Amino acid sequence: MHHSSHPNDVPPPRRRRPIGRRVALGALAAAAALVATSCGGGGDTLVVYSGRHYNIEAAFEQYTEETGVELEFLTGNDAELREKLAVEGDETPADVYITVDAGNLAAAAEQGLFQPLESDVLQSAIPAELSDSEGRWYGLTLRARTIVYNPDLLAADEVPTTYEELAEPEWDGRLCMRNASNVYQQSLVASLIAHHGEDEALRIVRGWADNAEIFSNDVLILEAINDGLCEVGVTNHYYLGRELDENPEFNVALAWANQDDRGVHVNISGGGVTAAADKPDEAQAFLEWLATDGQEVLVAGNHEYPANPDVPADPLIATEFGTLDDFVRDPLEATVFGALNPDAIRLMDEAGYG
Amino acid sequence: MLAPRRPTSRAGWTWSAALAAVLVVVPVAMLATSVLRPDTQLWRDQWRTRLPGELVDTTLLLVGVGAGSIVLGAGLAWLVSAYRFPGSRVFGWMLILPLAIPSYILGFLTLSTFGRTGPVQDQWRDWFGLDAWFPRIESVGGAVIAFTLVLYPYVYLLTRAALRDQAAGAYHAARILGAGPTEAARRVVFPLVRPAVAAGAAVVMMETLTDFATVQYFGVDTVSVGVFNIWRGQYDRDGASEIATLVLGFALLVIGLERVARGRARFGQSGGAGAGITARTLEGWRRWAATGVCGAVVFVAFIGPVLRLSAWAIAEQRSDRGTPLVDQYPEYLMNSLQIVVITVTICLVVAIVLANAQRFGNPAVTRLSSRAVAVGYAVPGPVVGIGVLLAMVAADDALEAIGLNLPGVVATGSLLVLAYAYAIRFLAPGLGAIESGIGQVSEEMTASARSLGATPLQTVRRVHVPLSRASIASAAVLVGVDALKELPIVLLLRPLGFDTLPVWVYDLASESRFQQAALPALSIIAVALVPVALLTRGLDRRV
Amino acid sequence: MHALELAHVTKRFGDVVAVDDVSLTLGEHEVLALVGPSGCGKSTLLRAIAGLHSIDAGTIALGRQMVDDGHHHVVAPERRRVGLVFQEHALFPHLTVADNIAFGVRAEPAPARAAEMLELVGMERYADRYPHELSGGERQRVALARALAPRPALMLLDEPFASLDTNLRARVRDDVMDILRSTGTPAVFVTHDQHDALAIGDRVAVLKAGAVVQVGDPVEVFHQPVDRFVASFLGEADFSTWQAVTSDFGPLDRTTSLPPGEPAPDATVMTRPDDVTFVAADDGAAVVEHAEFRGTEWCYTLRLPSGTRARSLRSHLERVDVGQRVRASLNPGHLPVVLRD
Repeated sequence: MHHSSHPNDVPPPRRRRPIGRRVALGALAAAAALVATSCGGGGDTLVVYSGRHYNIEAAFEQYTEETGVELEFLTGNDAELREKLAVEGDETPADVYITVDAGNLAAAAEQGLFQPLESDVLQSAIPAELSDSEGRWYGLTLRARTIVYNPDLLAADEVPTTYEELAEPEWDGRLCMRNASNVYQQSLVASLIAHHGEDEALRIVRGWADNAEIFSNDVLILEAINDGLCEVGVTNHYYLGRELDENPEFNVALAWANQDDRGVHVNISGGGVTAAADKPDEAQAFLEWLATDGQEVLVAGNHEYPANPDVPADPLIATEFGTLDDFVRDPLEATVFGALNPDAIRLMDEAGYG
Repeated sequence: MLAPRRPTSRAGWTWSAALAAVLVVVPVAMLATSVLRPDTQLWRDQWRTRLPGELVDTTLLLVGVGAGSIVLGAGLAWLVSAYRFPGSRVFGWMLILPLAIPSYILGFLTLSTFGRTGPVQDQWRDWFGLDAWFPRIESVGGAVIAFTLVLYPYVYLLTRAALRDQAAGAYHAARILGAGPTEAARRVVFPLVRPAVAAGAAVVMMETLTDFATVQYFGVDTVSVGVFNIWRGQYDRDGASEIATLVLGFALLVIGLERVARGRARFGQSGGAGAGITARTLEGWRRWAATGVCGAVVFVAFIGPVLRLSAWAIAEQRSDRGTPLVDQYPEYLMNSLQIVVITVTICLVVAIVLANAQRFGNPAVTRLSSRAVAVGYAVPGPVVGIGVLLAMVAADDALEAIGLNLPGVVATGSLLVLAYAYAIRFLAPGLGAIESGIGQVSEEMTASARSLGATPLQTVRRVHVPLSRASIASAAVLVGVDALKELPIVLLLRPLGFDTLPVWVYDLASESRFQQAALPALSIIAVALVPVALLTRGLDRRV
Repeated sequence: MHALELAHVTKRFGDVVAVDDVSLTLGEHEVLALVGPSGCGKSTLLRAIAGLHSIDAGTIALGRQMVDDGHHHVVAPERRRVGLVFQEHALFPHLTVADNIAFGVRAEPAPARAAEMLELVGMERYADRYPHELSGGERQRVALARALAPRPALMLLDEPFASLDTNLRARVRDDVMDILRSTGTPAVFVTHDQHDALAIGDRVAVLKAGAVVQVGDPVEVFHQPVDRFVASFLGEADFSTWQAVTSDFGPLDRTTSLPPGEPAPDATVMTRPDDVTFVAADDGAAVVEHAEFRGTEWCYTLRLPSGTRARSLRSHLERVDVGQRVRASLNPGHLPVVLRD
């Protein structure tokens, strides 16, 4: 206070409208905007919470064109949308919940967020092992997690044939794998637990942890193999499809895993009608469409396999990887590995798998 | 006429401040109730497996990013304030630009450029062979670099302001007493700007701590990542919120460290009589070295990323698949702007009320309220999001119980709810700036206005707000840029069909379609540049 | 009617009693100087009058209006019609001089009133300047004009001249007093400077540790201080006992003014340097111990026969060497003041 702290030396402002008034105007405009946008979700539209992002607009638009039913959707992370559904409870605007992973479908069913459907269309379109036994959710597309390799570095007969083999010491320093936070990696490990029990699964994952360089997404694994940084890896098949689509010279080949025993691990993207749906019948009709006429547009450009066996796979993967008839799929029900997802995470933690 | 007991502590101010604090704290606290009944098995498992590694990674990351931001932010602020060299004026504002780049975008850019499969290492291996050693980018070190490059501007901004406002006089005095520039900097300037540096570093460390997405690109498992694995993968919300207490613990540690580093000094962001340090012209190789350092930082942290994104965006437009310049583009942009404007408005109004309540309300209550709102900044976005949802549903139930049914508004997520969550998250940095601005308005100024017949509200409007305009503007920029970049909350709480630019980036990036995400990413940067440029202009005019 | 009436006003901050049972009144056109060392509670009292603090006991009335009854009835500062002027002026830096002055004007057209006030303080040409473009004295006049513009019933001035340098100070002080008196506004000044207090106040109130020690007109308070504190706070004072002064200075001139009755021999008495004089005499019982040059005069410190010390002022023309033996006496008409303690 004594040595003067000249408050008067702040430079003089130009004259202008007082901030207070401008703030007030802004607040008014904002309030008007709030009122205007807070009344969505009602009316005749069907509301979808979707963990799928890519190209779903195209599918939804086509459905609207064909049926006249308007769709509104909210994309996001599977687990977070499931939390949102659970917290919203009866008040949720969502009629349909779609995920990219079986684990969250199983968890949502467990939480009572789906209602069981009695639909001949769905039952005949989607194989039983790809849907819930009580009809609460149905798989829509398939995502095989399999072995990929660099054909320059590995001859066809040298390529490992099973997930279990990748845990052998000979692959030390030659393997690239996905980090433990990823749902696909989690569901693969969950399937190992289902088949082998905890102890054996732990041994296998420890073997991977010893051998592998860990990447934070599948595309990086594919690029690393293409660059020759590793010889072999495990990714979802459609990422390779996408790379080959962009660059036919892309130097990575695919080998379906475990063809001599249970088959390759397949995760599903699927959906169901929410327990609190306002329009369950319309929601069911939409799901039926996705499982039949909508299959093609749903997988278009994304190189997934349609869950409906009557719908052909897109030409690129049909040519490069074969159709669903050309390889053996692990028959393990999605419900089972979905329910084991938490155990899979604990097991990877235990194994020190990054 | 009956008036309240204390004329200087109007009950209205006290209650408003307390209400703001309650509104911020309740949603976060609703999630934390399970902490009272801890799941010992979970803690045992976690402690045996992930937790030690997470604690180490979190500590290394925070220390690394904190130290990196201090060196880069304070060092560059000193360089451009105290010396003149080719380009020094231009660098003065260019060095703020990285603030416009969201960390999740710089994260994937860094990785795709310098990572194992990026062009740099490709070239390296071409030259030196497949097994040639290259520092590992997918590591704590890599994450430290990426976070430092986008976050150092916080330290830079606050330090420059402090250098201008507070340190100039002391610096010149020290020089006259015979200290060289370096000695004067070390012995006089650094202690004076230390509070500002500490405040900036605390902001940087908070942003790093609450991130859970960018760190995963680098394979770094922080406590926040652990929380999300338990929540999303093990479907255990209670367990996740228990582990989240560790995140809060780190946040408290950061705040504590800041208090210690700040000592008893205070930092101010604006005002002051400083004419700034008289810059000394650098000679010889030093001048070009200074230019080189600034140029390198601007290039690596801003120009490079923007160029790479532009190249991707162009390639993407040319490819037949192309991200069509979707019809929704203007809509995404408008939505982003709308939520930014609403969030900034709410944060400014609440922050101005909180900051002024400390002058007009009960001091104990208002000060506590101001500290309490910091909790939102110390919690990762999705935790705030779910907390707000829980609170909204509880509020909805309560309203229904008294016979008021407001269908839709509460549960479906309205813009209001979204803005509420944003405000919880970003009130703290805005409040910090505004408090320092109001702090520069002397008590006598307030008293004069009051005795001239102005009520507290009129005093705020006619005196406090105009006088802390610079601080309010920087608060608006800080909050606005944060709100523009925000990702996890908007995913959870946005109204149906309300997609923003970051949502667009997320939709593509979560499918590893990074090239297609280039255009929306560039748009975020472009929009964020507007407030950053305004801030820069303000800063320059005042220098 | 009083412009201001304080009755048993008490203000605490925690355990600290900042203002302790103060009772004071201010006449309708009166100027009161509140003087005391820093921390004596004078600013707190001023702020309580302005309404910036509420009081814990007692009452404050402005004119007929009770503004703080020490309980629940507290009138907000903006409703008290008091004008405030601070040491740092506290002008609003974002407003021009004219806008600063017009800030509080409500009942009449503000620009006209501002112009009127600018004329009153002689700052017409500065209407469009900003505060940082003014000198300290100019700022002070603007602050005064601003406080006077809403026609306050009472002016409160908190160390208004403390930030001005000595040369400017007396002039600004006189200007301010002229302006105040020309408007007839009653005022309370807070100052720690005894010169300001004596020059300004119609009356002076001396505060110590939150309590009023003495109130009276400046001449009385200066020349008849009640205790050592007031005596030494308002001017240079030397203390002795009645017994000692009567022997040290020889026979006192009892014709001018006699203390009522004969003081006790050990009563404390005060002399000021202008009371004491001396003549050089080699057989003198006192000795010059120290000499301080003050420009127009010298101030000599004498050691008296009783061992006490007293200061004495002499014209600069009359030099006396340190060590010189002298005979000390009191000036004709001057008497030592007998204090309460």
